[in-house]
Amino acid sequence: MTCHLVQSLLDDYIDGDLTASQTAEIDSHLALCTRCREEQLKSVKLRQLLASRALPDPGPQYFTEVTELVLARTVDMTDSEQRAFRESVDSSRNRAPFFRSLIAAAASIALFVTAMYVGSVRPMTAEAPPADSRIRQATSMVAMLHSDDNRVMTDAEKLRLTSGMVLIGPPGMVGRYADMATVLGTK
Amino acid sequence: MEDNIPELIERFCGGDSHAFTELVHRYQKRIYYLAYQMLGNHLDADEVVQETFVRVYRKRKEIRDVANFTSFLTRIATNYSIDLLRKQKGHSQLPDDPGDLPGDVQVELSRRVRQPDDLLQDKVLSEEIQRALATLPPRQKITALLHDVEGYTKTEIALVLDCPEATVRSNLHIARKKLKKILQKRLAIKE
Repeated sequence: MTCHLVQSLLDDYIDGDLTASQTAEIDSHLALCTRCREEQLKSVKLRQLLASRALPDPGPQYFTEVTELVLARTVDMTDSEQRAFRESVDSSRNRAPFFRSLIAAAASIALFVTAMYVGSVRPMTAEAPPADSRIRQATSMVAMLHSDDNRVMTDAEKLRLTSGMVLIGPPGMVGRYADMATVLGTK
Repeated sequence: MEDNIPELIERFCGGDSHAFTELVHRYQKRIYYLAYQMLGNHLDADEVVQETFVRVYRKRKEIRDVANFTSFLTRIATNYSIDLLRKQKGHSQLPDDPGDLPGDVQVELSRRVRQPDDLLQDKVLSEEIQRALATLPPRQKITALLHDVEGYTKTEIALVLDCPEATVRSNLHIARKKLKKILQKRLAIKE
């Protein structure tokens, strides 16, 4: 038998699932092959580690309480009470994801509407905004892209705008968009 | 004289609540420790134990084969554990700190007294094994636990997981290979 074949059968060999002749062949191979013998020992050691693993003991009181809880939910309940209990558990489980989706959708719509409103009240102009504005009004995108004028936005203004975009965050981050007005200086 | 399990199951299926109580006593620890190893924390293990017996109670009229009751019970527990694993959020997969567990908690290692250093070593090893198990997909994990920890045969595991025996062998082989790789330092053979 080759080492490759022996190692592929090692699990079944250790588990005692092979035929007598296969077992004898592997026995002979392991007697002569150090590498395969090492793999066998590792496999055995893994099983020992798993089987002897220390687990926390919750104590006898816990198991007494569990029995009481189980009986309260089964033997001590009538069939109709059990049905009603199950229905209330199932419906609360079904409701939660639906409401989470609803809130996320509402937050996304609110964010979109706010972004549209802010965009609409700030005119897009190619002219240079007044020097005392906290943030320059946005020029048209095309003008900005083609402009060599680095004074369209100062570094501080760029940082403020980036911070505002980061603060807005992804859809569903309810509340963060509320700070946009502060960032953009419209407050 | 204590009733044997088949008699208890027969009586339970016939509606005997005392038989059900006795079955809960007899099986709850096994289900708890299996769930604990699957899920890695007391809260989830507790949920699995309770839910398993509640479901068994509800399905008592469907139990046909008394001889396979253990497989039936284990199947409910493993399926629920796998569901919880897939939804697991927030509950750590690392073992609980013994101080957080209810009752008189102690790490049950063996019947002999262990020294503090040994206890610490065991805790470290236990956490390492739990981390390694946590990397396995649910079905591979439960297969390895049922076979190498709980001592189920491959045939029994196939019944529990409702899959062919060949699938059990395959999952077991892959799980062991992965665990060997992760725990290789622990498995190093000293000359």
